[in-house]
Amino acid sequence: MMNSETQIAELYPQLRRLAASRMAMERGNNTLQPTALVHEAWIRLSGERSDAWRRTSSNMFAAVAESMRRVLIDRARRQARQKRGKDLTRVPIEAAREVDISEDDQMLLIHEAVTRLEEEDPVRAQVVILKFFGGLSNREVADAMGLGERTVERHWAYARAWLYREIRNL
Amino acid sequence: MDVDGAVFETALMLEPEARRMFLERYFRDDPAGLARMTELLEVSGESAVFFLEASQRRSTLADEILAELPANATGAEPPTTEEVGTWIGSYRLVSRIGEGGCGVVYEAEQERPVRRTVALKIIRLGMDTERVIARFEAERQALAMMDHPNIARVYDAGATATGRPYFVMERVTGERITTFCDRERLDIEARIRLFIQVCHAIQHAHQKGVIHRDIKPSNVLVGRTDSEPSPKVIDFGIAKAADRRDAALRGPRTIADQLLGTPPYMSPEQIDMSGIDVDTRTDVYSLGALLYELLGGRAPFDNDALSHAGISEMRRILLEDDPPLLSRMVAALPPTEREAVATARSTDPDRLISRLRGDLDGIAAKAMSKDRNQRYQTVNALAADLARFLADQPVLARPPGRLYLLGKFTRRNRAVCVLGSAVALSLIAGMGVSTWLYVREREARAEQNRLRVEAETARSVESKLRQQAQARANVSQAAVLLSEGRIEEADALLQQNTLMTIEPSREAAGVFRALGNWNAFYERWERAVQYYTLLNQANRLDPPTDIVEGCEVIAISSALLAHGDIPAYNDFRHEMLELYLPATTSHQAEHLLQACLLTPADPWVMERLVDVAHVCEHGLPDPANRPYPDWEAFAMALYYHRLDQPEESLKWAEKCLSYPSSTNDKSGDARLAATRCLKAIACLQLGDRTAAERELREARSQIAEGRETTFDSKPSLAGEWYTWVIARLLFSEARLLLPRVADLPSPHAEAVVKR
Repeated sequence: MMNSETQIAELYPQLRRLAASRMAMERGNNTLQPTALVHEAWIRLSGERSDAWRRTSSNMFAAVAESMRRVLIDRARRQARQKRGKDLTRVPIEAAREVDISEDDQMLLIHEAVTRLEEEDPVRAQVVILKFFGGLSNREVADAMGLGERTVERHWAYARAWLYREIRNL
Repeated sequence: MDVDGAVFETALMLEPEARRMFLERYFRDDPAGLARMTELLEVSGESAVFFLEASQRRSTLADEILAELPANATGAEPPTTEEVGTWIGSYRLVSRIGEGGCGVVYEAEQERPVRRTVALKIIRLGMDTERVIARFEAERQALAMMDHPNIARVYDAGATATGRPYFVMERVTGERITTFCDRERLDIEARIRLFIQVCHAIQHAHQKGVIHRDIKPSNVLVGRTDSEPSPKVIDFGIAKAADRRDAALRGPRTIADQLLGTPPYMSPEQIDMSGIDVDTRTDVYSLGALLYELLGGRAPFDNDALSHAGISEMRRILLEDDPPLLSRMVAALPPTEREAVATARSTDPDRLISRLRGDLDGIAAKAMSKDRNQRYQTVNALAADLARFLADQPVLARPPGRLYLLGKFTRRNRAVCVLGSAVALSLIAGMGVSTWLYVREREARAEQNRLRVEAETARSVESKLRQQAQARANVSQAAVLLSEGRIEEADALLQQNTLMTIEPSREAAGVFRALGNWNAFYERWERAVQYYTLLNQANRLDPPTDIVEGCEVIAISSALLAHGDIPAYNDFRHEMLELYLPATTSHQAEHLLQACLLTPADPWVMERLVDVAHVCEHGLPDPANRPYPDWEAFAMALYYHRLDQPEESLKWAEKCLSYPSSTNDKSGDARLAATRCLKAIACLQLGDRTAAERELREARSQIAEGRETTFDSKPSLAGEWYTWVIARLLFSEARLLLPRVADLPSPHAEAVVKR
């Protein structure tokens, strides 16, 4: 496995886009002022860069998304380890199973569920990887996979429910 | 797996009852598949929220990673807003007016093709510019059709140099409706009058197929024209155009919808995210929330509290919690605020609270029902209820019952109603009474078909929803036309769309009833049957005993037979015997006997009717007070005729002929004619051909002389037409046995022409 940190430079525009999408994720009544970073990313992605980006081959999309996934999961794992190290207490194994689906391990839970989905239904799994980890829009996923945009949305909704069910039934 | 996806998607678009039926049908022989799919569907809404939160988590992680990148890589900061003075397309930005939920609004000047001042709104979230513009283009035609003094026009849309979408709208000066009312210290009545104007604007848009989706105080501005306050609704169609989601399914950016909507005013189905798409009733909800704030001084949910609650908690609150009743909310305000709210309404707290209590509590709560089928089904219905409140008339928002019964359509209602007012009453009473989607088999089949052509789903869903919204608006419009006596226009309006696209509802029931009746009167049987079929479906929203207390079952039976649709009549007859037994009063029994025995019946039917006949024969529960002894005697003569017992039939026929009419219209003549037909058959069976022929000739001349031939010049009882259908049916039956009696002349000339 490649060292994920070395890929960051390549992933640069994608990461910016993720940061930009944070605006859309901000809860409440969007009082968040756009950060310099977000704007820079926005300008570059929506300007000439976005055309370049679109011309990128679909393999590139997939590779970038897969790398994004690794980077994100690595980071999530590291944080989980740090956290566990910080307040380390022993709990009975049953109690450990009943841990909530908390924010801390959401990423990891999704990652594991997606791994299962990859075996059962590779197409939908790919949609999730591109969309969720890669941060691509439906249209980009559609282009990358040679599917209709509508199909992508449908796969996404279905996969989302499937994954959530998996996670919930753990 | 792919089929599963299509089933999943289709099911998501259906409301719970329809969904259940659809799934049961699809997974008929596959209980495991059904369970699996049901579970997936159940978690769909939650999964959307889970992934929303996960997306936030993902963004946070990405931010952290970015923060560790070399500083020089992040580049320079671009301007955060467009500068005043810059040109965007052919618009020059003059000044910044404000910042709204989804973007910044500028005053701008347009040079070409006309010089005018406009409002230009730049949408903040520009990730999907092309899509936003494409959506806007799709909406544009509809928006262009909207022409209403209380709606701000939307002129244009485009993208800025940096790729952000913008909209150009009529520049409206005024202040938000809540601010205006408070500053002017408008009292409750004045506020309601202003609000009704807003309702009319929204209804206009709905009739053009446009849903606002983001009604809230800042989107309703009030200025003064000719010193009269005049509200203007702005931002029409923008929420839709700026909406990232397609018809039913949403991606992780759904939160953007929430930025475009405003949580305290958003309908549960907008919040839900489980896939049911919104329709015009989402605006009914938002209007309810606006009304709530306008009258009570506070939004039904606290925006700040919602903002801090987090997405899943916000979703739970908006989906599950009912806001306090308006009057209770005001009563619970801190004293100084309560005083201020009352002062702004030119009254004192106690008077304000008592004014709000009851009707207005009910109206606001009904408009904001969590279940959209429990809301006012149209904006007109909401406005009409408020108008009734202003006129001190009873409103519909409170539990139905008494009022609705008033509108029940009964043939021999003792209070003889003029048709116009009977229609109006049944409509008024029917409107707004709680309704829920009644699912027809036809719809379930349509869903399956759609599954097959699911490639077209995206477009067809859109158009179906639009069609339904249109159909609903048309029903509402038809109700208005009917109440003004403009029956033909109402009929023509509904015939524009396929009738079957109209969801059965109580409001629709009133319209179906009136138009079925009208078409039947003029012997346009095909149409009459269409309306009655829908009426029959809508009727299932009512308790069975209420239905057989009325004469609709006889009307529907008669229309089916007059149309010549014997199989449909047989189905209907079986359905009645499944749904409406046992009969508890002789009145119900009489209706059922007639409705079920218009043609010879099989033994199963006759057997089911034994108890019914018993109730009718003995005048239960109160033999001394039979409501319609003449009609009960007729029903018994008919029953014994079908049992092939001529002595009994003759006995009851004689009894029936001895009664004067219990109604003061010509339907009494029809009863006599029909009874003579039965008597003729009995006489013949008992060996008296001469008497038989005499009776039948008498019946013939009564039928030929017939009924009133115009619908409204002498309204009498609208229902009388089917008593004549019954007389004609029985005449034909008797004449087969007595061919020497001349046949009837064809139905009156006008009906022939119209057919």
